[in-house]
Amino acid sequence: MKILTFNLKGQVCPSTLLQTLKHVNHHKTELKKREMQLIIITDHRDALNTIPDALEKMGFSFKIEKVSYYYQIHIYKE
Amino acid sequence: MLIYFILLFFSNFFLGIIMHRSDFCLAGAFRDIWLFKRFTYLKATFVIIFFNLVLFQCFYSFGILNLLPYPLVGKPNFGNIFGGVIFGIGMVLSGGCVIGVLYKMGMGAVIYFVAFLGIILGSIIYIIFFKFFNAIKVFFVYSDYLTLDRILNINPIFFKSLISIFMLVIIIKWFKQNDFKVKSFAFGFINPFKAAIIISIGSLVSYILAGMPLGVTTTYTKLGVYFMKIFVPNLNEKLEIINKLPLNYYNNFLGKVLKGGYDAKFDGVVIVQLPVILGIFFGSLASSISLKEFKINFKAPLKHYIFAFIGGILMGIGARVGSGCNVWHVLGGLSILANNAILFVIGLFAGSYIGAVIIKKEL
Repeated sequence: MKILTFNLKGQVCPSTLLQTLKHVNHHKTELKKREMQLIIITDHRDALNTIPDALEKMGFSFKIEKVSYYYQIHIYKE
Repeated sequence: MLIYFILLFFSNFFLGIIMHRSDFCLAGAFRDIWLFKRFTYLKATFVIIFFNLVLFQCFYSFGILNLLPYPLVGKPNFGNIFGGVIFGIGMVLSGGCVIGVLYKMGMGAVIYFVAFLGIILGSIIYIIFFKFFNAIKVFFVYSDYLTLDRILNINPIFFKSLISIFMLVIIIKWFKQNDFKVKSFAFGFINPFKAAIIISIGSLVSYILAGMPLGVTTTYTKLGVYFMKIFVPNLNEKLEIINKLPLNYYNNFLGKVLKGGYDAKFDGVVIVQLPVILGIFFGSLASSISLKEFKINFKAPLKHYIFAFIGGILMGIGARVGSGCNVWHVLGGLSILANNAILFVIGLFAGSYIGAVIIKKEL
């Protein structure tokens, strides 16, 4: 399975959500076929509310882990 | 005075923690309704305004607050709307308002320090071109009355009671719809509706101590004047606006008259606003350190830095032309039904829409 990682740390709000939605939409076919996972790296706390909410509405699953001072959001299709 | 500073600093230190933990962003509250059709933080802001409306009037009626309207509430004019539009665009481009950039700087995000510098530059631009911007402000003055109840000629307590009942009905409806349940995976997250109640109490504490609710941008302007004077030491002779003292009132808590203006001096403005600025910044810093999330981060696309800086400039100009920032008008002015706040917020909705269109295309 292909894994793409996007480092969105330090960006101006709400770029993290906008960029995540852009990447998910761009790769949605591969995500839905379970051929790909995306990892979003962010230090933006609000994104940990907005991104999961958006992913649920889009029908994707996610796993969030805190790494040091930032968070990783793993996006995949179950 | 020392006790005053300590109380005002620590009450805002606590607010800084709350804002950081709840990601309470007033810029996002207005921006996200256009960008994502997300109303969570706007509803939470509505809750703050409701509690402030009730608390400010009650504490005034009990004699604990001695000034309502508080100082620096001016007549409604065209500058309020115009300033609101400019400010709204600016806060969306920057990703945070004048207080939002403070608590986000506390997280170590350098991009918000750039927005902060932009606000100071915007204030400098306003001071230099004061005659032009003042012409916009006085272009049209809508009324001699400061509050909506005076324009409508309604008893203020009766009017505010009606409005607060209406707001409470809406809040209860949202509560029953589970709109207040907000899930976040951020460590230490505080629900924004709980945060709203705490922020309202913080606004009240500021009002009791300082004689007015939260405000910061006049001190940002003073910082700008300070830097200008490094290059132009005789600035007071060149720009008359710096010598004026628009703040002139009796502070009940301190038991003395406070005066102040834009000059780079330690005056009433600094006494009222500096503890707020420092408190919110250090509160957010402490919160992010305690969560092990503090990191000085320079890495962001150049375009974001440009947007943050330009957004800051627009906020600096907008706050001065609009006779206050979003925090001053939304959390303070709307809660006392100030006409200039109502106009500013109308401008804010329009400006945040324009800003949202820009960032959706460019970010």
